[in-house]
Amino acid sequence: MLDTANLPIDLGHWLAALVPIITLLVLLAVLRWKAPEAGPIGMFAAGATALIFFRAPLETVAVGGAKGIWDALFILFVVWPALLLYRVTQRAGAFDALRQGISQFSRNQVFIVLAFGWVFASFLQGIAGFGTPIAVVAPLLVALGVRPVYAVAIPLIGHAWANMFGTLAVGWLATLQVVDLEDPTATALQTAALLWIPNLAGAFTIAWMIGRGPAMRLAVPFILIISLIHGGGQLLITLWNPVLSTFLASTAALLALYPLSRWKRYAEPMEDGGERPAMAEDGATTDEDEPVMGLPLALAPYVVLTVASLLVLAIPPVEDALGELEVGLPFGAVETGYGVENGAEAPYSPFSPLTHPGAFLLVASGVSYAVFRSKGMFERHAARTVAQEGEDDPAEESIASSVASDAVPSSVAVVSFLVLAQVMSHSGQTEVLALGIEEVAPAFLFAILANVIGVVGAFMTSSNTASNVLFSELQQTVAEAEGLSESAVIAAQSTGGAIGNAIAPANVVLGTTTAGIVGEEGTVLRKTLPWTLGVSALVGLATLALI
Amino acid sequence: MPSTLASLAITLGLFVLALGLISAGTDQGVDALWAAGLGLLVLGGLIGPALRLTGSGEEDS
Repeated sequence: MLDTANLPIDLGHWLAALVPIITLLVLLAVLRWKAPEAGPIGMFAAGATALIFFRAPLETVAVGGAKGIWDALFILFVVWPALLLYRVTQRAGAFDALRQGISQFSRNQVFIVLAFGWVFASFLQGIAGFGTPIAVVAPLLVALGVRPVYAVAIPLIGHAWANMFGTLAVGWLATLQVVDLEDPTATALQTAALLWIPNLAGAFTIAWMIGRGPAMRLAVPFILIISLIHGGGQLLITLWNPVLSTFLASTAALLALYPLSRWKRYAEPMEDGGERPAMAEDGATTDEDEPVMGLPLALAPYVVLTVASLLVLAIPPVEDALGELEVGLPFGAVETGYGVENGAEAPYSPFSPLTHPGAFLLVASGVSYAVFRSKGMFERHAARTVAQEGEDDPAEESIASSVASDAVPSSVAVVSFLVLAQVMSHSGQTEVLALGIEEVAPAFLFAILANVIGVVGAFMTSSNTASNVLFSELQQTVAEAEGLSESAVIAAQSTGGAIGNAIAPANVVLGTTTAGIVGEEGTVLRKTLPWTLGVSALVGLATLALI
Repeated sequence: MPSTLASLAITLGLFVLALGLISAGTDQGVDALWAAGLGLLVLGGLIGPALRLTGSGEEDS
């Protein structure tokens, strides 16, 4: 637990604490540095600020840095297997098969992009978070004719609402660990209510990206029906079991896609003409030949992923047994000259590799590779590619080499971001940012800004869970001091932590890597940052109604 | 001069080594270990920006 009693809460230190975050944003979004280049600079900015302004000794900076590396490994255990799954399915020709197979159900771009970028991404977040929806859906959308930048931005926005109670409510459970809530049911209910805002706003934003006004008008019934299932379903199920709320609601929405695809409105293509910013000019890759595999086989990797996840996470005895294996490292106690103490931990943040989403992705990759290889899919797709593109050997690089080429730069970026976050936390910079807002904001303004603190936390750590772990206690303390509803403020923190995932650098890097546009992180952020800020404002106003 | 990919792979390796050294050093109270780890963390962090500033970052990874 942090002792923040001696932290300097003044404008100078508040601005100093902002420097690492601003540095990172400017390098990525303005100067367009690549993430593996910008991340380390942000990391150094955090370290320098800690040493110069926050009286952090070198040992404190070292421990913060090392814990950041450890936290990053947790995420990289999703990144590398997700990239492996992507490369296995791509080399086997599954994406072409998916695109052609899905077009048999619907040729409507609004329906298809929303189905994958919103509904399927939310479903994946329901069962396997930590960036999995972005890593899996981004390349699918590219194959479906979405421009790569939008193929990353769309699932970032589409999946955000599902972060808090997704992955079987790991964010909610972590929150309960760090704060003793007066009324957990009321808090869960208000959180679910606030999360409905990014759910609806996300869907309409995606429709806008697809085809502006005409696409939004076309999508209205679809969005309202699915959002009712998502948001309304999550709200209702929260009353009974918050852990299953997002999973059940997002699964029901996924199943609802089939009857909706039979509706003529969404089976037929959109009318020609009009602006379609998210869609590639030539549409999806044209391929008049039969795909090398049918739609069921192309979907098999994702079915295996879902089944593997459910078998472990939804069956407590299985999860408990596999969860016995934990790995973690010890760290000694450190403190700063301002009295910010971080106690010794042995181990720090252990994780269970066998119940981690990365394990399920590895299983899906392995099973898919075995099945595709046994059916000769790799050779058939390679031969098809040679015939179409006239290349002698289109797959010179092995799958493993391709994965490494994709994953290494992203990994450097993810590690840098998490090191930045932990150094800021260990030196008290994060707390100064939050406490500074509380110092100057009257009660009603703090209520509006409570979710912004959650957004900042998620931006820094790429995790709704980590944002809540960082800030829930602080938010609870401020709510009590200001006479605000604890449930409403914690709900705002949680919702901010969810929507902050749309701009989390690690998530963005994951998407640009699997979409094949590493270096375009700034361009993606310019799509998702306005959305995040706008939704944050709406959530802030809605929080006022709850306090 | 190693390729961009190789350079970033070295960065990752340095980060992982740093993790182990800092953990061991702070847990066991051996200053030289965690200090060495911090040095490796800094060294690893310099590679990415150095690639950018020397123009090597334009190479395909």
